[in-house]
Amino acid sequence: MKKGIKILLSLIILSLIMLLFNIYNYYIYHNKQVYYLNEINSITNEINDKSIYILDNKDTLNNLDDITKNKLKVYEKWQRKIKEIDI
Amino acid sequence: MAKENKRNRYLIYILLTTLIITIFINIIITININLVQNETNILKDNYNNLNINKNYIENEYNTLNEKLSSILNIDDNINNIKNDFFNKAKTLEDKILSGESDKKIAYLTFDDGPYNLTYQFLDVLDRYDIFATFFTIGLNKDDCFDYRGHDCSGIYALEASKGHTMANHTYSHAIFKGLYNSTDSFIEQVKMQEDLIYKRTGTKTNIVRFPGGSATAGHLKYEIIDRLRDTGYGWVDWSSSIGDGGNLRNYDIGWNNFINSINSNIEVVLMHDYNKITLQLLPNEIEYLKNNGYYIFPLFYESNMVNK
Repeated sequence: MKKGIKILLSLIILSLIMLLFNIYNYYIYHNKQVYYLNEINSITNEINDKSIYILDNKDTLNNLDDITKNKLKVYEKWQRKIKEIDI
Repeated sequence: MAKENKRNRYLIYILLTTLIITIFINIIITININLVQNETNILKDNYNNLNINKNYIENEYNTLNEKLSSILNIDDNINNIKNDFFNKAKTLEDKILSGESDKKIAYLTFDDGPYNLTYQFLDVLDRYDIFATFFTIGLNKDDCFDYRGHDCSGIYALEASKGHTMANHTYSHAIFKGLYNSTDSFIEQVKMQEDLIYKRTGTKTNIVRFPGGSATAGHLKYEIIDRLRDTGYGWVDWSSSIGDGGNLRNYDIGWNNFINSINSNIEVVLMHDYNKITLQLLPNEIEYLKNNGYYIFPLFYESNMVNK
């Protein structure tokens, strides 16, 4: 009977160790989850802010007068040309 | 003894119950861990996808900001980038001339315009994303019209607005009507054309090409060059020509003239934007030059090809 008690005690200790290990694992994954959730929120906010900025300012670009549009085209052409030169 | 047995049995019950409870809790936590792990993996995938979107949006954002900031001082920005370009082109030219580089440069130049075909020349240059150089004159340019009904006087501004180099070919081009009578008459014609180009485009020219080439000035050549230098001008002839200044009879002759005259690492190609055959030749010339490794640049004052 005493042997049975010893075995049960060992199993309980083993089970408690497993419990601690599982709690630790749970804690790690939970932290990871919190980290990803925070990151996702911050990235989503950033994307939303930048998207709104892009939409607003694309209108500005689309509504430019023809002269400025042409100047922008020429500026971009110079940018392309300067990149082409490989010294 | 019986009492001790009873106590031990009781203890076993308690221990068994404790064991079952801890195992049960373990199972619940393990299930939860799996759930959290799956959720975390999903979150991680979302996070990675969002990061890809973020990078895309960031690129868009930076490109847009670059455009917006370039618009703010667009004229200054164009001047600055042109200067940067010319500095880089000059460095490349120096290296080619000193033998340090085996790269090649071609300067496409168009004389005597604008004409009613110039719009189409500009379209070809746009199509190939090329800057060229226009040596324009001013006499009789108010009464020619292109196929779109635009008069030629507006072409100066169009050429300049597209970023091409505006260069001076004298106002009248009157080789046989007094242009080379004296240095003064030549310089006067250069000044007249400079004023016209400035009025039409806001650009002050600083490169001139002698009508007919510098040799046509005869004994006045070096006196004129001195005066040009004093007035801030450089001058340029050409090293390659398709022979379209006179009567170019057909495409093949022009093409042969062109490919036979392309044999240096730096070429100044002479063409005229009034010639239909030249217009037909231009895309193939550009292709030929590109396929043979030539950069195609617009002329600039600091270039070694511009004599001072």
